Amino acid sequence: MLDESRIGDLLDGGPKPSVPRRKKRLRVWLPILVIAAALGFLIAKGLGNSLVYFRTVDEALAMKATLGTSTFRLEGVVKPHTVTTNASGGVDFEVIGQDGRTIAVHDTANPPELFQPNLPVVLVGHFQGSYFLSDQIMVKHSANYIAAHPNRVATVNGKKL
Amino acid sequence: MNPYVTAGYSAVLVTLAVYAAWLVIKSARLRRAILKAGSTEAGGRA
Amino acid sequence: MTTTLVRKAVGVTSLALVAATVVMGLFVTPPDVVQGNLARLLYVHPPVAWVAYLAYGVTSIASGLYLWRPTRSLKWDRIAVASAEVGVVFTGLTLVTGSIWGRPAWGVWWTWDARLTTTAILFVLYLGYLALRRIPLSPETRAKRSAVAALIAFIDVPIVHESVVWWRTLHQGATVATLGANTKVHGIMAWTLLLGFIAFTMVYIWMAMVRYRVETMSAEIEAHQLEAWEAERMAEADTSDAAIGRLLDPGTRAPDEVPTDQGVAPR
Repeated sequence: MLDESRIGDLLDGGPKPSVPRRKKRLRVWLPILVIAAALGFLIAKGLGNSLVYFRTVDEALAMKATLGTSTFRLEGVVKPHTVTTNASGGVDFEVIGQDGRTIAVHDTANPPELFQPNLPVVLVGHFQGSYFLSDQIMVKHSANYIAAHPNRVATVNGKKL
Repeated sequence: MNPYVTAGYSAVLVTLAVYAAWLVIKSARLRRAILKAGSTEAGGRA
Repeated sequence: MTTTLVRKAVGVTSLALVAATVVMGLFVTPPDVVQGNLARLLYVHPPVAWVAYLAYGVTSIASGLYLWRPTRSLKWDRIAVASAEVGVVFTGLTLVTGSIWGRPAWGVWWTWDARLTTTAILFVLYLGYLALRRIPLSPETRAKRSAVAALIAFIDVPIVHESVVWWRTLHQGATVATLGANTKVHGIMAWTLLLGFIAFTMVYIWMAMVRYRVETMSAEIEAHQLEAWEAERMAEADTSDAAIGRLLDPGTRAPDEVPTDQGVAPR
């Protein structure tokens, strides 16, 4: 595509003093370098994090010895009737896995707004004795979208979060 | 309105509006440049 | 003339459809049972992401048609770049709207799960495609190299789409692709989502058309300028030939050389 400066030249008459060649070359190659670096960073991040984004409750229990106190992401469903707020400003609850086994969680961070029983969550933290000590809760909501008040118009009685 | 919803819709609408405006302006300027180049050429020949 | 008319019609239609999507999405549809009003982002985020896929799909087809000799034409190269640029705008919007949705719904603006990471890679790949196009080259060489780059970048599109299936992600699975299986989107919410898809697709078509026009007109001016420059060079060559002639034969002097001659004349 044509440079804005060159369109300007055509519209306003004579060419303006042109940009020195070295500066022009920098303008072409600098973005390419930055983009290449960003790409490298993203791929490294992806390989490091995304391939095993989280471990399920069952896997975490099976690997408990090898995991030790290293930090990982733990996924499970918040077990109903186990959620209580704790002194460190977070929540204590249990996450339940596919086969019904549970892990007790002590969370020190403020849970997100959507946090509630029966929703799957991903927790960042590590094992501390029999507990999973979490400093971040992420809610993994489903792909379902169901009207909260099917017969009402949203603006009248919309549930605000 | 939920602030996140407002932010999300605004981000989409504002970005698309700015890009659309840029496209329209650029295309108008190029058209003018082509018309001008055409007319000077014709004038030079006359 | 007809193209102008079509472009205008598409423009007006897309504007109306986007307005309808906003009204439906913000005021008519009900809040979701879990996400409440946050679910309203459903009517913009997936459609915007779909347009990015579509745009890169068009770029790939156009790039393929350029590389294939029987259909080779710079027209395809212009379609490819027009579509890719619009695609980059929509990929950027996908990341931004996703982040804005992620903060209240998940609790984080960003996380390195496969869907998010591969989408960020997609964004950077096509930014790279646009940056590579700025290297000064002949239109044909640029078209050929860009076409190859575009086809390589497209590999990431199916990876992004399948990432939620292939890997464990925080991101939800595909809402639309699995519709009818276990996933549910309630009546009017589904219709509004469909409206969003159509609206933003129309916006894409309009933007790609205008962007293509910008590319074509740029090429036209560039060709014109090249012609003018050639003519100038030819004229210059003429005068220098005349100068050589004068050097060889000092008897003939051009009138503009007289003042110089007078300046050095002996007293």
